[in-house]
Amino acid sequence: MGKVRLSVWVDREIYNLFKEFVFKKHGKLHGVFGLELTRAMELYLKKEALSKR
Amino acid sequence: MGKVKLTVWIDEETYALLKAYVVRKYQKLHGVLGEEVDRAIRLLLSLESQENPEEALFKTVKPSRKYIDLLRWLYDKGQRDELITDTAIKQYIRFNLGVKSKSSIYSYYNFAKMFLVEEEKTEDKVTVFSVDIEKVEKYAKIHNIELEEPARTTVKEPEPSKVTIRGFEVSLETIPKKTPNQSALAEIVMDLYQSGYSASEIVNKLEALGLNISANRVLNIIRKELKNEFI
Repeated sequence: MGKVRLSVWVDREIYNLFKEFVFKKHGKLHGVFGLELTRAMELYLKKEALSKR
Repeated sequence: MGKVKLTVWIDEETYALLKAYVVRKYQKLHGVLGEEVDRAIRLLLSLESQENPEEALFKTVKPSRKYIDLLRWLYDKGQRDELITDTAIKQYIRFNLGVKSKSSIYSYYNFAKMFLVEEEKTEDKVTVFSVDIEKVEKYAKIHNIELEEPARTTVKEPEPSKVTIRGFEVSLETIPKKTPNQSALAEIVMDLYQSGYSASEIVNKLEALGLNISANRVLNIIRKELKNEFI
């Protein structure tokens, strides 16, 4: 599946927490940061779609 | 609170979905995409910080009557070890639950996906799932849902039938054998057309479902739908 570059401004504290979370989970950031962010977005979209019902 | 620029490579499809969602919600992207990404990260962190994130997600999704029907249908499939396709799920949502709009069908489909395991994606772009019974039971337990009750249906359940699509056996039991209304028929035709079937193949598939429709009519439906899409 293709990848695209996302560039956005986010809350610094949240960014740091997220980085910490990804590093704790995978022991690295490179190659997995985007995967975790994709997962976060999928979860968010799912939750939003479901909460509409 | 300070902001920091987040630049990352992400899945193209998910990004497109997020953009579409943001545009629907705010009628713009600039200045709000970051907020939504921010919310997505917060959600993930809050779910992951709990002992069981899946359970936390299940708790946030309250079951409506139709969700319960869909859950029971999935449970039934899971108990019989049946594989189901994305199309069969959408057909069930449309014909048995009576959900008409595409966005609502998509929402119910997303709900179903919480309990599904993707087994295969065929060459015909058909996704085949199995049902994770444990997840269904877990969700049912959280919301005190009795899974054994028969599902409420608005359309009489047709005789189970299966067709083989390019060597792959697909359950079509949720498609009613009566002639569906025009928009439902158009949707079925377009589903098949977008899966790469020719008009004559579509006629054969519809015949297998008990729908006798001429190739000319199929072509007319495809032309009309493509024209509508283009407009």
